[in-house]
Amino acid sequence: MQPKHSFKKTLLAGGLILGLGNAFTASAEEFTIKASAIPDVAAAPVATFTTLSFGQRIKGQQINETCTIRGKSEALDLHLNTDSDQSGTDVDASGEEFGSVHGNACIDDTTGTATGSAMIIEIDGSASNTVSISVPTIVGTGYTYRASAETCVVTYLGTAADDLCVSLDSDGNATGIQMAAAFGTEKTSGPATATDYNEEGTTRLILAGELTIDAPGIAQGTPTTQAVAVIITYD
Amino acid sequence: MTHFKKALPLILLPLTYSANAVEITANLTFDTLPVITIVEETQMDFGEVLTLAQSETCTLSASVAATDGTTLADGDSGVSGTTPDGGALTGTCALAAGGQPGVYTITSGASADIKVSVTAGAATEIAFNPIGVVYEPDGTTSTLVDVANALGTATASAVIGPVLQAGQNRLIMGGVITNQTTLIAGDAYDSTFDVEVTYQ
Repeated sequence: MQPKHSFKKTLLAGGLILGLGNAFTASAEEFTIKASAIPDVAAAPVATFTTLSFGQRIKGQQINETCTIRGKSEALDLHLNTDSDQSGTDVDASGEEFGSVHGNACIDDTTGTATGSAMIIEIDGSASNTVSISVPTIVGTGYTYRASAETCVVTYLGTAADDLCVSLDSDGNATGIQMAAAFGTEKTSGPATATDYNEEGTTRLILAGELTIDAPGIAQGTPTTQAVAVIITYD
Repeated sequence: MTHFKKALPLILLPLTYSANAVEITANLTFDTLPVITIVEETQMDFGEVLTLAQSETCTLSASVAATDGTTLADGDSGVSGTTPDGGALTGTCALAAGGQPGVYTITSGASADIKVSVTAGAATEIAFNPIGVVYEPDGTTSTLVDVANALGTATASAVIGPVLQAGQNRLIMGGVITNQTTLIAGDAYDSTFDVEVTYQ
């Protein structure tokens, strides 16, 4: 009987050792990691440039004629925080006003006055991505609105005096707009009034456009409000 | 194997973002130019001057200087009042009496170019052919734009206080009456004419 008793002790100890061994080698744990997609694109009007208007002097019976809000052609570095405006200076050479309206479908603004207004929209997003802009054409009752070449979006190029405001094409689109300008370079080469502006991850869009009067026209004394969609998408 | 399980999410997650987009809505606004109004200030009145025979004529002058491009002092042109410097009669009518030109205020959008046209109404016992001028006031003088040929243009851009404001012009009308039949002494005869004003 005694030898049998001793065998049992030995067997129990061996099983215990084997069990501990299995516990160490088969352990599995799940760990959480964190990652985020690039930030959403955000867009908001820039203060003092928050309205898009052709004014109150539209000639509603001028069928097939147009009225244009001047945006790109009259924008200053100050408006866009660019290091060069379209005329290559910080001065508005033409004397016409940003937001002025011109064309046969409206009463021309005189030099130095603007009865219309153009918007400037700041776009914020990832500096490592480019964006596309789309402003679809709108056909309203008696008129068509197109963003036109007077609407443009800035691409900051990161070196002095080379920023561009890229016009939207005839369908209202622009692609490949980069927002990755080097902060230090742009800050030092930008307009003096644009201190502390950091273009990295931002760009600015001028929203102007052209109104065409379509048959049968628009009655005199008619106020019109029309929603215009500005769609910004990562490329 | 354990290390592989931890690393797998780190590799895959950056690949899972999709293109983001944002849409911002801008409110485009515009107003068409205001409705043009024409208000009669003084009715045209030839007076009791018509002679009776068929085909006889009587002409009422809208202005003593009713020549296209002529300038007049506002006070003489009816711009700063309702009595223009006109009203002379010519023709076979009773010339001495003098008549009253019609005075009409046109209100349109300030600085807007307008086109003024006048056309005769249907003839009755008399036929009336309207002849007149539109004044372009500049504050001290008025430039006359002839509408005798049923077409004239004017720009309403000046401020003439207190009678005329920006966007207002004056139309001064006379014309020629031609008897279509033998008239009856003591009877009154009416005719009409139309004024159309449009933006250019």
